[in-house]
Amino acid sequence: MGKSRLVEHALRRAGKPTFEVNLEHDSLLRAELDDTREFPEFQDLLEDRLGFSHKGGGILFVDEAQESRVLGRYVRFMKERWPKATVILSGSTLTRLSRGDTRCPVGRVQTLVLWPFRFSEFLRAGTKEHLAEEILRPSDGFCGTRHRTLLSS
Amino acid sequence: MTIPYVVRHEDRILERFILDETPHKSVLLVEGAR
Repeated sequence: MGKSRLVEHALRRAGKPTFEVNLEHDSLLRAELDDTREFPEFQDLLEDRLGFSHKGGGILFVDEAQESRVLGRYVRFMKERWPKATVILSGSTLTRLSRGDTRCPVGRVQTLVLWPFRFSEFLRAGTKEHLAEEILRPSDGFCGTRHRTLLSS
Repeated sequence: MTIPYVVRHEDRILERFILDETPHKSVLLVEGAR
């Protein structure tokens, strides 16, 4: 779908200190995270393992965040206790963050849903910029050749 | 073959969120199918 690529691209452009972890790939950190009982312990783990300190105003990016059983319960504290930090959690099923006795942290999160490419974006990715512009322009239709080209794109 | 990066509406939202220096800003959840 491109969630990770989207965020990584934006982080590179921002040029701010960034601390990234993918909980699907780093199963050791995920296990350690799931062993934490309190938020300060979670903070210490991030500092020890990733070098992330909320005081520095950096960006914490947790990919495949739904893999953790406990991360959801810390979301409210990230907002309340880390005034300078930027936190981005990414995943395919983030509703799993609020599982068990963890409630959805209403008012503490902002959600960005990434949908598949529109056809015009798909054409741009295939370097068919002129066709992308063509289908967005109001018209009476396409000639047969162009229609076939679009169908075979 | 290298697929060019297509800048989307979502890039701008993300960029604004990252550059926002407001204290205690929300946690951003980026969600979508695999």
